[in-house]
Amino acid sequence: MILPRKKLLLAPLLLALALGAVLPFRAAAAGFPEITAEERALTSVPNQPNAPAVVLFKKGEFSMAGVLGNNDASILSVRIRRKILTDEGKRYGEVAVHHSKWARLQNLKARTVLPDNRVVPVAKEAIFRRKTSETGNTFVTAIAFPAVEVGAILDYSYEIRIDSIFFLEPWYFQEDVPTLYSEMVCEMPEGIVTSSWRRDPMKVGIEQEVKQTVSGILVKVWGKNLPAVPSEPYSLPFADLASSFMLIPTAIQDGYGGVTKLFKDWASTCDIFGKAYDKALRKSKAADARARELAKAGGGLREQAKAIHRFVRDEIETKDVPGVALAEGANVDAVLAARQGDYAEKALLLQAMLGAVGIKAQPVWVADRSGGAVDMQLASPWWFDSLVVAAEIDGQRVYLDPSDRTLAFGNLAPGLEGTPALLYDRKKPQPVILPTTRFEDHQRRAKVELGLDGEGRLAGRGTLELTGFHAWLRLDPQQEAAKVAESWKTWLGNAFEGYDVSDVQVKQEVDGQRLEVAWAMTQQEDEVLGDEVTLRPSLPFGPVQQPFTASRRLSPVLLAFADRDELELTLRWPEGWKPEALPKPLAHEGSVTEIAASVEVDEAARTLKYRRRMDIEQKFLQESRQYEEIQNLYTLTERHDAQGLVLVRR
Amino acid sequence: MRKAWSWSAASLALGLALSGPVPAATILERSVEIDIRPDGSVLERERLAVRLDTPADYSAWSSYPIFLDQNRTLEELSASATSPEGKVVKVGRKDQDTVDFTSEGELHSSRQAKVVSFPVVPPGSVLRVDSTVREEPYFPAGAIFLGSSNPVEKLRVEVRGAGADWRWRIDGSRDGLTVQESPGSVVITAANLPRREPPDLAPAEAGVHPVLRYGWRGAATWQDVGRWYEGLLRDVPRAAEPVRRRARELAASAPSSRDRLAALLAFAAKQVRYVAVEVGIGGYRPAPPEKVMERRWGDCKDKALLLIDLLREAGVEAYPALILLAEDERIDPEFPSHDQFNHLIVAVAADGLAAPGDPVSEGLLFVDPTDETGSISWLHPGVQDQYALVVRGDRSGLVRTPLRPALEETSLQVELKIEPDGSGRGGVRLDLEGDLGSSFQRLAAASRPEEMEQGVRGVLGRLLPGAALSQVRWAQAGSDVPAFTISAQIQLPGLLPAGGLASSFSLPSGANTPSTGLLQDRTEPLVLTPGTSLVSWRITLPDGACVPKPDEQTVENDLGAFRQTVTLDGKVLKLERSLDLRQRWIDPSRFAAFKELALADQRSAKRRIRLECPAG
Repeated sequence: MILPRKKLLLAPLLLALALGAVLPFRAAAAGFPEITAEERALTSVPNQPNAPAVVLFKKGEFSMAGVLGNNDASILSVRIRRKILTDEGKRYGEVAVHHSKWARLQNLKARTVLPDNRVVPVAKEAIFRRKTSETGNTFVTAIAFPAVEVGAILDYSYEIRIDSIFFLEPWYFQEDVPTLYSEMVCEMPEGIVTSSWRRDPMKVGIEQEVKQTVSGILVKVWGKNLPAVPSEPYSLPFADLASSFMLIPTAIQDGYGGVTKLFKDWASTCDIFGKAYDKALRKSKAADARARELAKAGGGLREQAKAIHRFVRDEIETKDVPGVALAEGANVDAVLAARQGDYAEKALLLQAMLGAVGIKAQPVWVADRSGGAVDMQLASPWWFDSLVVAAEIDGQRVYLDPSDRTLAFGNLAPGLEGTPALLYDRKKPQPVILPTTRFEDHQRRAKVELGLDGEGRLAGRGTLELTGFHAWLRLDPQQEAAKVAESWKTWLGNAFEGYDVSDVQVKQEVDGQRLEVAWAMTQQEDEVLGDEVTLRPSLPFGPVQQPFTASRRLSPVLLAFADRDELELTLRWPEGWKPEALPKPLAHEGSVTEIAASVEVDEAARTLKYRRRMDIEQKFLQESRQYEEIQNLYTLTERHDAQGLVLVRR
Repeated sequence: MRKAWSWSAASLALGLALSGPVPAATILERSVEIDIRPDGSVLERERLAVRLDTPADYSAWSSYPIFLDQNRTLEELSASATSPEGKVVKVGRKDQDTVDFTSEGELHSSRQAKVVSFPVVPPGSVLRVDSTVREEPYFPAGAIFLGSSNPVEKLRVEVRGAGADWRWRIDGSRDGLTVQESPGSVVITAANLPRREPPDLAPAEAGVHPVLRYGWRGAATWQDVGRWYEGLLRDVPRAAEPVRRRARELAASAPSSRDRLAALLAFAAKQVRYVAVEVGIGGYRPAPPEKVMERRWGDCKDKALLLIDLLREAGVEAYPALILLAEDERIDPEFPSHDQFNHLIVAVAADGLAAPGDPVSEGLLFVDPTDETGSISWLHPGVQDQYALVVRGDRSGLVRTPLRPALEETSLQVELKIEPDGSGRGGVRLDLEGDLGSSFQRLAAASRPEEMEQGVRGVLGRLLPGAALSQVRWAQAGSDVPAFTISAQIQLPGLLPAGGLASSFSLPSGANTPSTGLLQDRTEPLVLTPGTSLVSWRITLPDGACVPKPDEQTVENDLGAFRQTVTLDGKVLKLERSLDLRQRWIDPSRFAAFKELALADQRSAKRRIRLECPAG
């Protein structure tokens, strides 16, 4: 059985699909279908004003190896027809198709049909192939359509030949422009049992029909008059917004009553990978020895696990090769010797080393939320792009990610929190939801103390504490301390424009997921007015700007993570000065957000204290009232932050 | 070698970014030997030894690219990593990948990189690369950047074999460099060079300067470079009947030469879409105009040559003009060479054709058919104030394109009435002309209405923080100079506290100049965006409100002018603020003048408007 080396192998195809550089089949050989009168007459798409182009049709056909007349390889055929509606739409005049040694491009054809019916074929010299990696055997072929103008129709088709029965990528029916018709037809030979899956988040109405054919089963899925996928800030990934379809083989029947399970359920899916995983784990003599050596440092199981996790995380370089499959011949001792491995290899190394000191551990297939939501009903390895390890320590399950040097023991990246995952096991895999943290765990807390001198110049000190994901975002444990301090100095200099920042001290704690910065600041001489001074008290976190400017939201809001910002400014002034304008207090609490700001003035002590706290308690805001709430939070905060704090000479 | 020829300056930035990892690590040795051979080929031997100083350095240096192309082939390559204990691990063939790459904005190119992947080694290890690349130069000249964002312990650059009639020049400071010249060669050595960290708003290449430029076989003048380019054009089939016919058709209804230029420029700019394909010498030589017209796509040089042929058929004299498209970079006019440009525009004989205000210099009107929003009157700022090599036989030479800051204007007009609660209610209008107008026109054409509304609200939100906006509208404007207008109804809460009885208030319009803190200890020029910024506020005050003291501030020098007036017209408080920046490149000798303008701008923006309240 041939398995794709990695998800990466087929990922380019997905890109091609997303670009609309769809996949054809026999249609390619048969030439382009005639252009209809309706297609010729079309100049705009109802309810889609400004659409620069429209996909008139996008048809894919997957003919699995074994279908009559197609024995030696699977063929994915794509045929697409676009019409250019505006000058801006001419940018759709170039397309790129990614392919590889294992997913070979063939029968690429393209033409432009002008509004006056003239057909301009794409010349050979307008088709450009380049290799994106010689060792990886990956390529991209680009086409520049000729004579593209408003009203022109661009036709193209091609085939991808795959030496396998697997094509696990989804078919996306929608694009960033409207699509009048999109279909995917899959033909499987007798004896291959498949399972299909659909997602229609915009409720565009995707339909499906299944037919028995001479050589097997044919599944046709289609949608009509599909709107463009919305593009909004802090939105869900394209994969979650566009309607899509996937079909995976679940079993092979040999005709004599024998059945080989494929991606039928999670157990069979895990089993497909099991042989390679087991083989990789068997060669672990050196890894075991290293683990025992690390464990000698003492402490309980938890401390030993921490030492081993830290070793794999920090001492083994992570190669950014997504997916859950292993490279051929991979084993944990080889990863240890090379001091580098991809996500799967590092996770297995960690599993092996934990096992060597008696800690039960198993790999967990995980998917970052930015790649789209996982539906565990479909037992497809395609969902997952990485592995972590679940360890049982002192009766508790602890998730360990060895791929990220800025993640503490037991912490997961924000993109994994709360996502479906699979506890890998060849016999009894277990779907789980990864744990989540509280929004209060992810804080930015700033304290600034400033004093005004008699000349009207501000100077003082500040501290900034980042915890949780805020720390994770900024931790840089590999960099030398002076460079880290320099980088923070630049950040603070930008945040406090008009001040000279000095004496920057940075304390980084990966294991505590904490970062502390302390600094001194002095207003630049040119900034001093002498008789008045205006401060933006929300610095260094504000003034915020409303990120949700649309009055109507089409898609849910997905933030990187929920969090809390807290800041406190203490300001002292000398005799002869007084506050002239102060920010108004603010207090607003919603169901998932909160903002509170206050100023306390002690005129006798010539001191004031300004405090501001902003909470966003959920990262996924699905309901329209939640959108209104977060929009309101930013409106209130933006207005508040726009108010200056003014001191003037009496 | 730079031969991007692409519209986007970002592509150049990408190219440079590929040329080396970011900071950290110490370059123990960098040795470059350029051997110019009798057959005209060049052998480029480079030896690099880099010590990893921190754990972060490995990932920054673990993939090292050697750039190749159709005329640059790899002759030899060896690489190794030496651990702190002295163990040497050689990089095998399986860890040397070859990738074809394109820059941003290119559909295809012949550029390649041989990428060396080093084994994992700890800090203190040394990575070594020795490479020999053979180049068949398209033009007898080359350049080597001598600066680095990493500290360099030992640098040695030698150019030899150039023969008697060769030339070289170091563009930039020679601080720390030892230069030894002998007939046909030059050796530059240096020790313990600090890493270069250019400040904000520095020229784009400040991080890798100085640069050694060298050339051989004469070719010492810009005229020679022009002849070289004409030689390339000679191989391009021209004057094809379809092109001539098209020119006649387009020019038929255009009575004057200016009208003909406008019609033909519009055709080349708007009817031929920009697609960049850069293959070998095709990175310099345009495709035949007939072909470009037929396929209706091409890059800057394709579009420029097509326009030139169309114009010539229409009786308008026009020439190719090689230029550097960059707002923060300049060519070295002292060293004629082919590789300092990345763009081709068109120079048209201005006599009898140009109008006042057109981008004319030395009798030539410059037009850019790559820019869809360009016109006879307006050139993209990236090709303003740049030396263009106008290619016209023996008259080939550099002409500096004019700077037109007056056409780059941003105007914010706010008209409000103070409500009883102290908020201001009224309208706002933002007019953008020139490059910003062009950018917004493109954005509006490419966006759905809801996306555009989000963008427009974001712009107004940045200018007027805290404002509540409604009835947001936008429209394309302008014909010769691209323009764009945004308007909205606005409410600014708490603008005039205490219902107009406050003794001061502030307006949200900020300064338009960078902080003068940027000038501290600065040796690099400051690169600005020239143009005019106008701000106008009309605030109708309530009865009995405190009123402003009339005020006027003016600062003017050769870099520009700042002016602010505050007046009261009946019940209307009027604030007018304008800033003209007339130069892009501010050398250290002009910092004082810049500071004068910037301080006036920033202090005016920072100061509250003082009001005098009626007695009682």
